Amino acid sequence: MRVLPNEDQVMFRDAARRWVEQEADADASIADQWAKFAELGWLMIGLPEDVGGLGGDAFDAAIIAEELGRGLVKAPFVGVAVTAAQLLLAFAPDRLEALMAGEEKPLLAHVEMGAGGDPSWVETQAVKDGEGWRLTGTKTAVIGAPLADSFLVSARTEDGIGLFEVSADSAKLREYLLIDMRPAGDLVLEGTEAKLLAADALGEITRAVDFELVVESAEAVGVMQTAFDMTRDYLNTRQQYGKLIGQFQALQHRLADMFIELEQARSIVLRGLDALLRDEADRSAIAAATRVKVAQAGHFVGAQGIQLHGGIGMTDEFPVGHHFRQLIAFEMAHGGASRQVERYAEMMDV
Amino acid sequence: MTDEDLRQEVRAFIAENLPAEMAARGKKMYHPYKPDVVFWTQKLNEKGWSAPGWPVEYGGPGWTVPQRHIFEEECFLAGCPMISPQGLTLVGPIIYTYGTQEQKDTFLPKIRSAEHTWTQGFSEPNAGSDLASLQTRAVREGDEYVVNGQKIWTSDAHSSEWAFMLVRTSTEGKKQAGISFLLIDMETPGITVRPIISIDGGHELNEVFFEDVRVPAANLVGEENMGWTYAKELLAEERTFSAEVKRHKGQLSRIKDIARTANLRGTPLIEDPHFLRRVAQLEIEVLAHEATLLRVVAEEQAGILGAAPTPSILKVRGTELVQRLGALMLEALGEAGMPYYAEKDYFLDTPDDPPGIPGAPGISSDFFFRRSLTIYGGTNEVQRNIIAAQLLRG
Repeated sequence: MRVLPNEDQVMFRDAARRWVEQEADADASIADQWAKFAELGWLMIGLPEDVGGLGGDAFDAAIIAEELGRGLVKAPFVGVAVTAAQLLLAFAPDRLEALMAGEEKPLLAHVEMGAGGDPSWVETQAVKDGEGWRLTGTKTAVIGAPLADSFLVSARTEDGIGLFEVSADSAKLREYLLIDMRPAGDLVLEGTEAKLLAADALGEITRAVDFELVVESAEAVGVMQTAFDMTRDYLNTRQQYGKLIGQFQALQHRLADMFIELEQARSIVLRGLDALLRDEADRSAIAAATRVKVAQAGHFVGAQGIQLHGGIGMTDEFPVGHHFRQLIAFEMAHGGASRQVERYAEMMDV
Repeated sequence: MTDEDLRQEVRAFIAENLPAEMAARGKKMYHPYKPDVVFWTQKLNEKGWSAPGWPVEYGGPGWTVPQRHIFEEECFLAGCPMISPQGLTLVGPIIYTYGTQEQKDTFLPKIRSAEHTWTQGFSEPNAGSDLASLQTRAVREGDEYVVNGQKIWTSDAHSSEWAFMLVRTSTEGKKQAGISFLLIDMETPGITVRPIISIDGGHELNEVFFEDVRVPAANLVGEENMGWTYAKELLAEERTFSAEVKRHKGQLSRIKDIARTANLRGTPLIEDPHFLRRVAQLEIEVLAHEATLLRVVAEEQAGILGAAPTPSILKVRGTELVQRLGALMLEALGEAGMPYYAEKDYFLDTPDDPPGIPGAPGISSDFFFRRSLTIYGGTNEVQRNIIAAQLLRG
């Protein structure tokens, strides 16, 4: 299990932290931020050298994701630079150059309502139409969808589950904001034109989803870390009954429990990354386990962060609630943490 | 040698050397049975494996920490008798770090061979989590200390040859500053051991009384009045030991064994998705906890001394997971967990026509005794105080 970052990774981490703390402007457009991501090399950090990447892997991408999570950066870094990039790496590596340059932002549109976190649940249909294909079905909760220029869409053919590409121009997108104010959307396919990327794609889709489960978990650890730091600082500042509230043992113990959960979450992300890197047989089980632990820890840390702040934690003006909202959105994605427990139960060794 | 090679070598060694009835006893989860512990420690000692965490110069096998974990995990899963931890992980390292050459030469080989097993004399009736309040006195007279006082919760005092003790050698200054670390032969006149039967019905704990016990001054470890410093280090080791990952894995494996034997309305319990989901939740917790342990080890090896109070974190989560897994084992047993499977009737053999299901004896006993985990080594509440103090100071 890789635990410690190497020198290069520390450099990237520090640069990302500086950017998030000093330059990431909440009002800046995601398009502007994206250009910066490309310039800093983040869009190529997790990709091999033979396709023009920096030769890193999911561990490197997770380092960036965690830093972006600390600052609640809304740009869909994981969706494009990890999930979609892994699928292009498998099926269309020549397309990665544009992705790494920040010129193209493809996103995987795979999850359907009611899939319950099972990556093989696909009801969207693909029908051959001359040289091309037409897709019918609805893909849901595509994070960052309004920014995408194309979608990688899973759909069922007579032969199994294939992966198709649909351009953003030709698809109908039902846009909305998530509970944490990140832009997202449902992709409504009504006989929409599509290009076939791979006829038998379930294995690679599952692998890409595993990458997303784990690297988004790293992002969530960042979200949690900031919520924890704010709470600890508040206990060291706020006074009631004539003393710092951090001197009350009930609150000290709560803070200790928050820290234990945060540390467990941080640890299992390393285990999850290890499973991705070694592509071991239980990769999907460990990815599900990672998601579960981080989601449950995130729920606890975020909720207790609000509780320990008291009234101020309830306000939209104070950021701890924003962190909680992103942690809850994280918990609900991919069928929700409880369904991921079930997936793990089905896959574990008995 | 790769880690996998070592795992295979350990498995082969156990298969060849561990008698089946001993493995069966080991899996029953009753208190350690001294003849088994001594037999197995000697076997391991012949192989050079009886002190897996020690430096090579003191007889350790020279394993990395992950290799040590592999060894301990394999031993636990196979039901090997546990090497007495008081000698191996507690007093041994203190002796080779702070002891005199004579103490090293005398004691270390005998810990490795189980010629001596050890008991820890720390807690007193009025010094539990607040250990530094201890009052057992050791007064220097010539080249001897005269010890008077009482220790309590002393595991295995009734079956151990030696005790390592914290005793008060000064009442001046801060209470931590007057404590010394003393080694005492349990055969010394003036020592009385009284059993404490715990809520599981078993006997591991004791009270020990000291009345004018004369101990050679050569048995002082390190400097007089410095014992607290050594003990703090040892307690950190005890808390890391309390990470308990190998016990968690053993428990998970036992839970699945039980669930294959037990049935729910005519179907093996192992096929019940509701039950499996509960197992899955705990297995996920264990995965995260194990990853934390590996992280701590890697960070220590890299010389990163984090601000994080890691021993306390490992202790709190590790011990609480043992208790949650224990509760799930009982849940798996259902009514088969209700009979009192007394240690004296079920440990060395099994009565005719026993109630319940095979595998049930020992589980409720272990469940009850493991309530002690969140109490010893500084209660989990005290650990949370320590964690919060470090976080809020930072």
